Amino acid sequence: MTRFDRRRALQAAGLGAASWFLPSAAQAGASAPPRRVIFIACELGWNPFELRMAPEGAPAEWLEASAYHPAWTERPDPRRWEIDLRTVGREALSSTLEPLFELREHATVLDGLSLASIALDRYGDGHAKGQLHALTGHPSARALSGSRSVSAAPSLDQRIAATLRAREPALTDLVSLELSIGRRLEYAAPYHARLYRRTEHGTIVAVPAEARPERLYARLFAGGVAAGETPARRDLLSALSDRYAHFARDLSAADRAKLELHRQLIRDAEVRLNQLEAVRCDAPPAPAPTWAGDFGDGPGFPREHFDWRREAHFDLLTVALACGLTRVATVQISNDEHELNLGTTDDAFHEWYSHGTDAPWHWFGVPGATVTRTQHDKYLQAAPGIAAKNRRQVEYAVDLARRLAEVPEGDGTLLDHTLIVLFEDISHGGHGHDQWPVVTLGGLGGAVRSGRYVRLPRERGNPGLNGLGQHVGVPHSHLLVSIAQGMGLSVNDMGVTEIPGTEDRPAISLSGPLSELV
Amino acid sequence: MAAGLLGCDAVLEAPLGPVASEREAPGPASRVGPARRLTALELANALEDAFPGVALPAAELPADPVPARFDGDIAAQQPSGLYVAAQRRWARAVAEAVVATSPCGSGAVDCAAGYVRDRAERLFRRPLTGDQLAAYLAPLDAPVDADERLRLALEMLLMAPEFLYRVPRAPSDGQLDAFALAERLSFFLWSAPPDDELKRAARTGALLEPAERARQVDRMLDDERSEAAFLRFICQWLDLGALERADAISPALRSSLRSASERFVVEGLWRTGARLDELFTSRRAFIDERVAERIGVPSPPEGAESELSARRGGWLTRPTFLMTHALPDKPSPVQRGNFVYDRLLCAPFPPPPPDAEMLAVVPDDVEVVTNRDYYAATTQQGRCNACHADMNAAGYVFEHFDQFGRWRDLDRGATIDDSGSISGHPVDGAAELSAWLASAPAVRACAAKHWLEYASGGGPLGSDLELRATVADALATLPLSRIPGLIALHPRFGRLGVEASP
Repeated sequence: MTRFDRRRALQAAGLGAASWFLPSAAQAGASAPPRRVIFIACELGWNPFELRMAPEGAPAEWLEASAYHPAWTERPDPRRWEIDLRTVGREALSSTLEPLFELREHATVLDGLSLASIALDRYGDGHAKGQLHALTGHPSARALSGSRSVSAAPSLDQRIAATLRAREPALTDLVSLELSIGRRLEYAAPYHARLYRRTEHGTIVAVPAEARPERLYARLFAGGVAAGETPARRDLLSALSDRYAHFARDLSAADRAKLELHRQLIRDAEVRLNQLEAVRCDAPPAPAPTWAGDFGDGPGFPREHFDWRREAHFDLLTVALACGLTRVATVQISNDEHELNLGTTDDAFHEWYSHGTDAPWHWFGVPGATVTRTQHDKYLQAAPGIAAKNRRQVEYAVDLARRLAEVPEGDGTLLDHTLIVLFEDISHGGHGHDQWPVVTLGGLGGAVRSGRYVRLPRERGNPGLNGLGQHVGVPHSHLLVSIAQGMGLSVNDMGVTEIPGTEDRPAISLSGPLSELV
Repeated sequence: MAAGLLGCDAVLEAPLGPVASEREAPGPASRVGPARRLTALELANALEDAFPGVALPAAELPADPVPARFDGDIAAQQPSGLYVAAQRRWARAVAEAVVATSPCGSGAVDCAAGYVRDRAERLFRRPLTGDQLAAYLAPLDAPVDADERLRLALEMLLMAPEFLYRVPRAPSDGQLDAFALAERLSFFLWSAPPDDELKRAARTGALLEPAERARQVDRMLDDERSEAAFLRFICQWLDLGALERADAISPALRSSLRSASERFVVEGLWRTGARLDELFTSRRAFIDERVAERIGVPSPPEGAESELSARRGGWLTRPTFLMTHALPDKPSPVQRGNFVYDRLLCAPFPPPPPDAEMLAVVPDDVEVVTNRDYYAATTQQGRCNACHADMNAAGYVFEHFDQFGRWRDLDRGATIDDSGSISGHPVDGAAELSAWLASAPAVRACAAKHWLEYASGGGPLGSDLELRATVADALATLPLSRIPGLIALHPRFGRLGVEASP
């Protein structure tokens, strides 16, 4: 059992002399630790050639079949293979996955999923579709503007939060945390909203993310009388809640819904203050920002501040999970840091590096390839930049997993009862959504069999709608269902059950869990 | 004029058309209109009005989740936990700052009650009912010390729905009541709550008389806050906020460009009685040495107005527009042409297909020399040309201006072809395009649509075709500075009408 590394936590949180309670000790007597899930959402895709793995000695064709080789674009590939990560050496891991080595027994790599539900979606560009579907698995409601769309369904994190809160009255709105790391990230990714909740009136609204660790700290820990949260101030929230209810009485239905949501959020703040009194978890030292930007966090945001935000967010998240305050979290990570690393701007990073890593452009000169020399040259220059970005993102997931592994819980650690899920909005620079890798860390309380690289078959017929190819990987909807079920939700789909078939192609089921996960 | 108060940097960049068109259809008239939350600027101005002389902390509120062209767009405003937390933090900080000034001296209860009641009427923009008074005075009975009681009461006011939301009310036949009319007038013309004189006119009911309404509107337009509101509209319509998103522009240059653009709008258009056409043709400029050096024109004396050459008539040939519609290494006829159709003609192109960006590759067998060659090769092949034929044709006319807004005679040593077209009309160069836009009825109609949507929080007035036609006609003959008054005095502006939904 690993001890919680108090010193590092204090350093990351900005140093300080306040007490640091080992939060899980408070739950040591509990019957079974709760399960938690953390989604880490990134953007602009993978470099598949630096991620894919095949069993030792497998013919080259195995990798080609899964990597946009022209000979395989119109052919199914029913092969499925599995690599036991627990037994591989560091050198056997692909360069992108190499950071998993130390925690490989906790890792699961799912290679060959697809965001197939996108086939049902008419709205948004490739990024909008990927960012919206990754956690909703559901077609959008409408276009918001040329490239954006608005969700018609809640995202999985918010579904989990709503269900758990309904079941366990002791939980507060802190049951879910929405965090972001980067600039301009209240609704990160900076361009499209990923997270949506369903209000009591049934409307779907976007959920912003907290970009600033110091504010997250205030939400989590600055709830005591010393911070001014006196009983009188809690009464104030109660009175305000009543005023909102009164105010909304003669408004239109749409306005009532909006005001009722506002009232509910004020009520949440009141409930949180009351409930937090019962939580046996001392506050860590308040994080001290290294840079005083405003909500816009515009140009000038220093490179080092990304590290500070990530470390501080991860530490506070670890405490919130361990204390039982939080069960589900999302961490949205922008590309700003990578742009600064590469000395480029937002537009240029997107245009040059991401677009340049269009996977089929890898295969210049191969029979059947339609890639031009210009495209291939661009690919050769851009692909290493995206691979470096991918590797850092895996490092981030591992970094968070290490923190969880340092917190003892039950017979294991916090990581054993948590699942970290790392994903992108698109598969690769081509803006497609087939062959969409997912990396997980953790055991979700036994719901996930980890220590594996799983190559999934690409064999399903597809109507070819909305940019998906004729053959696609296993729909990620099954993964979402598995996670939902693992978290105790009684669901079997994400609101859509299948992609209808055509005369010559079977329907694609979007229902049921992902059997490969357990 | 403080740039921060203008809010030019607080606006997102989504096209307006699809958002507006998909709003809830207007329902039959009802007594209460849609709830519109105050913007960050409106909140700041409301506090200045309620607590004059107090050094107030700035509100750091998160942006709304749904991007909108105008920051007061009702459809974009959705509460969130993050918003409530930030707003609560801010309310506490404001209450602290106010109480620190000892507004009630030793904290006598009578003073505190009177003070809270008076602030409530200012913040809520109408007299309080008995119920409201009881609710908002209740914190003064809390078992804490006098200062804390006052802080609690002020915090409650600052988080109250009556403060944060504007809800127009119409007791009969859809005509706004006097307080609702006062509120609508002042937030449109000043981005601020009604001042004492306007409130007096509302309290007596005189504001509902046409003559008094006209007098009040004239008075408000004489106030410099109307300039700021005009600038705010122009900033958001023409997306001056793009400057804040442009990573490649240094902070110092960004500041200079913003100042030049804002001064052009206020000093070059509003104060001079310019019409809409001069937005596209005026050569008046207020650039500083930094901007002059960047675009390669003589540097004017510090703070002085200058006159640009005939190449640079109007907004579209100014460095702010040219630099924010370019890539770091080249000008973008796509972005420039798209802006013209979307923002100035209200004719946005449909969304690009998911793989559009991937198609933007120069084929191996195509020789590319100029920037125009590049865009023709990458965006006008196959199905892309369905949109890019028109979009690019409007953007190519700017090819003499590089990504820094500098004039160039040659592009990579080659002669520049700046011929293009707009809505089917051939135009050569940016000056001809600007001249065409200056006289185009479609531009006036588009400007009217935007102005009315700005005035009404994103839709209701903008969808009133009759009012839109009236404003569009006026834009052909009246100075821009008279348009807000025309809108404010129009009968439709004083009615609940199309805003209500059951």
